[in-house]
Amino acid sequence: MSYKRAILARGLGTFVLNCVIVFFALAPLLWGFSSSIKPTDQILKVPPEIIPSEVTFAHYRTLIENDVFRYMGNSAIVSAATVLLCLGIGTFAGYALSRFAFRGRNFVMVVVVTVMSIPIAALLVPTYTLIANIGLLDTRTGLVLLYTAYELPIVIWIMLGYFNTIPRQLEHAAMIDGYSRFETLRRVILPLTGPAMIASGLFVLTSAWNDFVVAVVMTSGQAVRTLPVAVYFYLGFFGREWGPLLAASMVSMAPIILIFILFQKYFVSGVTGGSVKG
Amino acid sequence: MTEVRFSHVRKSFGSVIALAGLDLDIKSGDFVSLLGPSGSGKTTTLNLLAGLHAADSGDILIGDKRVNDLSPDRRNIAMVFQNYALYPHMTVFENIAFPLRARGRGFAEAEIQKKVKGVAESLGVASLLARYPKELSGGQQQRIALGRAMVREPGVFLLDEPLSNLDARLRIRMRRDIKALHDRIRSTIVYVTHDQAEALTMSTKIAVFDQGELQQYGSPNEIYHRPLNMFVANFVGEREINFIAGQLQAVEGIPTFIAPGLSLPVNAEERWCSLEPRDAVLGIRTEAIFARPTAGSETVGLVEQVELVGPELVAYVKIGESQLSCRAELSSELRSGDRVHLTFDPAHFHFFDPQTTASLAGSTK
Repeated sequence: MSYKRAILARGLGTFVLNCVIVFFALAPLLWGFSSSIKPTDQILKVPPEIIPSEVTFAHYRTLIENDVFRYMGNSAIVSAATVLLCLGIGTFAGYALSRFAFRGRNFVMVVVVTVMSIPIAALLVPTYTLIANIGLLDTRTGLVLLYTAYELPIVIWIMLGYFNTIPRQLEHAAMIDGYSRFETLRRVILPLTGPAMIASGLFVLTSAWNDFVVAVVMTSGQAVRTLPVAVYFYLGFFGREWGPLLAASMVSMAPIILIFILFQKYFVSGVTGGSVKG
Repeated sequence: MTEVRFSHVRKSFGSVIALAGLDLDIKSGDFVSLLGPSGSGKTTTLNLLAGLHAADSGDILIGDKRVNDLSPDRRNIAMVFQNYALYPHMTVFENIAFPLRARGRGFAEAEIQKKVKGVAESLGVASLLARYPKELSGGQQQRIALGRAMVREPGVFLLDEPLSNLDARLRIRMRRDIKALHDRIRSTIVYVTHDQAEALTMSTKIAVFDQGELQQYGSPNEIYHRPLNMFVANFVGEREINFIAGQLQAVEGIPTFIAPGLSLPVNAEERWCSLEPRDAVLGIRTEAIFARPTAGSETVGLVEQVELVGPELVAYVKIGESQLSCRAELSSELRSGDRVHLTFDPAHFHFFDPQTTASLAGSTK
């Protein structure tokens, strides 16, 4: 009996621990969400209500009146373009590094790793000058190019690792079956890299969607302002009004959370894809 | 009907010479095994033929066409890989149909359906067409890989150790199936293996490789019974061959092989048997030495180990400085420590030069 009780106790302990972790991780989110749908005078009430007694979407309406859809649109366009560009280039680069022995291959790999380890802060000033010189300051294109430059190395690295787990015989078989190198890549290899693409795509998406520093430096007008920058400006605009601020935070978090929930299965298998047999 | 020819083909990887000047003629419809230990150049030969590697020099011909500069998809070949290389995201049907759907082949959908079903039926996998490769057993995957190669009716089949991932029983069955397949379709087959039993049972010709060089090319019978050098003699055969270092000399006018504890008369009609004494190595297989507990010959040795091999025994017998493996009847009930009399079958003596390791019989050819 004591053996069974020990197992029970351990199970209970794990459960309690998990509850504590979940509480710390989710409580701020839930509190933020519940406050964003409370009337302004209820938000700072002591003790706070987790489930609001009175629900209002006034704060969200305020956001809409303040162009939140335009900023979301900007963020969405910039993030999506960055993801597509990174995956497009990163996949081919990873494949080439994995499959071809060419002069300078090791040099390219070292450069990729080195670039990954330079902090963005150190790159801000030179890239600002560069972007200003080529006239892409205050454009979405400029942001897309910069995000791609920052995120491409990690995409290349993830894809390279994943390609290395795919047996070469598959390509050999397809080539002998009558397909060119490119056709082989398209019909045999790429369909197998889904998990790695989703993992690196999510990674790029999160960083591009959440980026504040680069966007605030490279853009100044409202026309191309992205959501994180907009949230920052709301802070100046609304002052201490928690309702619209929290609503803005919710709006900026929700899409990413949603996408992660949709893709989490693939994300996990993509992250571990390099370590176990693919 | 397609023949294959290698002439003076060389290939090295960095400083390692993988293939040092290969000349090999494969006739149309032959089943040729490339046999050798790992690193002997057999797989390199296959990859050169497939177009997965480029030769450093020399010519490779398929049919009458020099294919050195042709990419794999334009060589009219099909290949079965050791790990099968089935496409994991396609069903069995799609896997087999894949070569037919390649650009420029232009098969109509109805024709593809018919061909794939035909091949699947001939291999007994027609019921698996809707499955994915990971849902199949090793033997079934093997058949699908064969099917994918067959469906195109290529000029040359390349098989790269296709049975080595199967268990022993299944391997023996697949051996027969592949041989039956060859008898039916009569295509040229090039088959890479390190398993001498596979080579002996299936091929019409065997090419034995070692250290990047072709050691001998001949029918299984020739390879087994007339090995050109000590490597071939030892590599082919279920057990290691017995090598005994000694001397050939005339004893009372009869050519005789003398070694510590041994004196064996040799068939005098062998042409190379001069009566000049010379050093030689005798190679003799297990099945050509017979051990009996009763008297019957002057050669006497001590049993050190006994193995039961199905219908008979194999005894390891110490004679002089060497240990010889030999056959014995089951009923003789040999035990280690027994004294036995050995009889040798002179028809199965192979003599080699101890310096060059070449066969003395081969030197007259």
